[in-house]
Amino acid sequence: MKKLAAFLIVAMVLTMSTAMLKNIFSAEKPFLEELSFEEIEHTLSENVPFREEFSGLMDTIRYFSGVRHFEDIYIGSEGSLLLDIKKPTSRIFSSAKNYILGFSEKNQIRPYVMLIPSASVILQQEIDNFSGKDIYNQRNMINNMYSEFEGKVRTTDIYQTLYDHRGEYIFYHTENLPTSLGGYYIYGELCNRLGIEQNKMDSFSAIYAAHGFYGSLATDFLKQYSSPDFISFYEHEKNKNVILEHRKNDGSVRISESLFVFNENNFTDKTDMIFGGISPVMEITSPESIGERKSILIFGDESAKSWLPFLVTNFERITFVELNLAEEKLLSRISVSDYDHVLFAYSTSAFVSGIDFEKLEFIG
Amino acid sequence: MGFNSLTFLYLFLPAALILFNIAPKKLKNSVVAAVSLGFIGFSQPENFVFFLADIILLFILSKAMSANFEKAKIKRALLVFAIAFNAAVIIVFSVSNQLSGGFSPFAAMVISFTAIGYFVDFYKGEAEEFSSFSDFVVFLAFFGKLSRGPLIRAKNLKFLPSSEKFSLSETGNGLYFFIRGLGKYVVLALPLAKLHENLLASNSEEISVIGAWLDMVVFSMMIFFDLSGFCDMARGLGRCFGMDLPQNFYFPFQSPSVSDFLDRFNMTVTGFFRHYVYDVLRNDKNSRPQFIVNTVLISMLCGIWFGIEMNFIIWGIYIAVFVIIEELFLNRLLKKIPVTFTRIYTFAVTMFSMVIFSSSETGFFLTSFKAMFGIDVPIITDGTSYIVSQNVLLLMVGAFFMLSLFSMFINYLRKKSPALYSTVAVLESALLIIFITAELI
Repeated sequence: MKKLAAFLIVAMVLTMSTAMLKNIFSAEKPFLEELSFEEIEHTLSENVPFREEFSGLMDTIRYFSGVRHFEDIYIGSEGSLLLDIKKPTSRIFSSAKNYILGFSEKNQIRPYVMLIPSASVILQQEIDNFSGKDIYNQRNMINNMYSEFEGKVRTTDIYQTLYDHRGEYIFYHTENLPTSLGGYYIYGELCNRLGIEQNKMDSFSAIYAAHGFYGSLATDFLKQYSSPDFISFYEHEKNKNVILEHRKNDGSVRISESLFVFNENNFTDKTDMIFGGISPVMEITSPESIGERKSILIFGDESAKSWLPFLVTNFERITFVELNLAEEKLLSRISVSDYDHVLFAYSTSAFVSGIDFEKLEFIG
Repeated sequence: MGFNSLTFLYLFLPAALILFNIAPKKLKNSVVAAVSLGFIGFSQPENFVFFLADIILLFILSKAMSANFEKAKIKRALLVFAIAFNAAVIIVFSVSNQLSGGFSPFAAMVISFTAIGYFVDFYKGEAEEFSSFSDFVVFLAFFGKLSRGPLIRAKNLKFLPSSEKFSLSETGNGLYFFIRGLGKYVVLALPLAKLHENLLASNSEEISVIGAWLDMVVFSMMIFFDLSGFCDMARGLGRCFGMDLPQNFYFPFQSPSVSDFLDRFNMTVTGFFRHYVYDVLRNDKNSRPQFIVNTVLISMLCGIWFGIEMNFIIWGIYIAVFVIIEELFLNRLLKKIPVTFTRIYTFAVTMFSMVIFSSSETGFFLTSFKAMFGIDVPIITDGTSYIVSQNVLLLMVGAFFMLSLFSMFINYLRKKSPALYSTVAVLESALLIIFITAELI
C-alpha cells in the first residue's frame, strides 16, 4: 500500500479518536462516573464528533430502502409513531389473574377491570399491510385476559369505541398514550360500566395548553417523519374546587388545587402537565362532584392522564395508585372498605411490561 | 469489550498502536503481550486472573518440558498433563457457556487449543522453546486472534521482518484489513443476525416455504460475514503488530467439493484437527473403516469448535457423510464435470448444512427441511413478507459481498495498479469508518 494511503487510513482513526477525547476533556462534567467498560463506551458514544449526523445515517439509509419499523416503533403514514406491543408471557397473564382475584376474594369485592389498547392496533391502517398483520393481536389478548377472570370481575371493553373514533386525534402522535379526547371516549365507556351519568362533551371547556411538542417516541431521527403533538385540557365547572394530593413514598405530600399545570416549561414530558405528573398515590377530592357522592379506588398507569380528569366530575373522592411506583408503607394506609368501587385500568403496553400486582397484598 | 465497540476502535487500538510504535525494538513484543493481557482484562474481567494463571502455568510447563527434554518418561507425563489440563479448560468453558450463555468461550478455546498444539509439537521436536514470557503470551493469546482464531502453530507464527514490522505502510495496511473485517461484522453480520432472529421467531409461529429458505440464506450470510470479518480483523491486527497470521476463511460456499468446503471454512481449526487428531489416528494401512471413523471424528470436532451442542455435532456428521461419499465414490465424477456444476452441488449441500448449524433446538431443522419442500406449509406468510419488505437492501448488499467478485477486484487492483488500489482502500476505509461509527453509537 502506498505510504500516503496508509497515512490517511491511520490518520482517520486517530483523528476520530482525538476528536472524541477532546470533546470528553473539554466537557465540564467528570470524564467517568465509574471505571467500567459500559461507562467508557457510553461516554465515548456521547462524544463522537457529528454524533447526530452519524446516528441518523444508518436509519436514513434503511428508511429509504423501505424500512418503517425502527427498534420497537412503527412510522405511521399519517405522522404517528406507533409503539410495537410485544406478546406478553403467560406468566404475566397468570400473575395478573391470580393477584387480582386473590385481592377481590380477600376484600369481598367485585372490581372493575379495563385494558386500554394501544395506538399501534387502533391505528393499524397507518401501517403498511404486511406489518399490520405482524402486529400482536391486542384484541385477542384483552378478550383472553377478560375470560381468565371467569366473571369474578366486571370488565370494560373499550376497543370498539376507540376503533370507531380512529380518525380523530385520540392518541398522541409521538407519545404512547391516549390524548384527552381519547380519554373522553374511554371515560364514556367507563361511565356506562360503572352505571354513572356521563357528562356531555359540551359541558367541558377545552383549553389548548401546549403546542408543537414531540414526545418520548420521537428520537432525533424519527422527528422528521412524525407530526408534533398538542395537549388540551378539558375542564368542568365542577372541577374548579378540586384538591389533588400527590403522596410520595418518603411520606411527603404535595397539594394542588387544579388537575392541570399550565406552565409547560416545567415539564420535559408535556403530558405531565396533567396532574403535574403521576405520583405513587394521588388522592383527588371533588366537593362539587355530580350525582351520588361516591368514592373509587383506582389502580392504573400513565394512561390515566387521559381519562381520569373526566371521572373526577363523578366522584367525591378518587384514590389513584401506581403499583410500580408505590411502596409498602404508602400502600398499607389504603383500606379497600373506604371505597364504593375498585377499578384496575391499564394500557396494554404497561400491562405487558409487567405490573407489580404482588404489592396488592400490602393494601388493607 | 469486543472489537465491535467504540472503546476498542477509538481508545484501545490507537493507544496500543502508539505504544507499539514508540516502544524500542526489543520491547515491542512485550508491549503486544501487555496489550493482549489488557484486552483480556477488559473483555472478560471475570476471567482475567484465571487466564493469567493459565498462561503462567503453561509457560512453566513448557520450561519444565524443555529442562526434561531428554527424560522420556517425565517429558511424556508433562505432555499428558498439558493436554488433559487444556482439554479440561475447553470443556469447562464450553459447558459453562452453554449453561449460562454468559461469555464467549472462544478466548479459552483459542488459548487452550494453541497450547495443546504447541506441547505436542514441542514434544515431537517440531517446535522450539519460547525463551521469553512475552513471546509465549503473544503466541498463545495475541488479542487479535482471541475472538474467533485463527489457530496457529508455533512453527507457523511469522513475525514480519523489522523493515516491514514498523513501517507506516504495514500499519495502514493492517488497519485497512481490520476496518474491512469490522465493517463486515458490524454492518452486515450483526444486522443479519438480528434478521435471522426475527425469521426464527416468525417461523416458530408459522413456518412457510419462503420463510424456511430465506432463513437458510440469511444464516449462511451471517456466518460468512461473521467468520470472514473476524478473519480479516485478526490478520489486520496481526500486521499492525508485526505478525503475519494465516488465512482462516476463504469463500467456503464457492468450494468445488464438500471436502474443499471444510478446508476453506475455519481452515486453521480444520487444519489443527487434521494434524493433531487425524494424522495421529491414521496408520500406514489406512483402511476404509478407519478413514470413515476419522473423517466423522474430525468433522464433529470442527462442529464442536462452535460449542458442545447437538446441532453442531449433527452438522459435523452431515458434512462428514458428504466428505466420505466424495472420497469413496463421487470424486471421479466431480473431476469430469465442469467446475460450475461442482460448485452448485457444494453450494446446495453446504447451504443445507447451515439449516442444521443454525438449529438451536434439536429437531427444528427437520421442521425447516420439511417446510423448504412445501410439506404441509403455505408458500409465504404475512410475517415473512413483512420481514422481506423491511430488509431488501441488507439482503442485496449481503448477497453481493458474499460473492468473491469484489474481493477479486481488489486483489486485481493491488497487483495491477497499486496507486488505484490505495485510493480504493482509503475510500473504502473512510466509508466503513462512517458506517461502523454510525452503527456503534
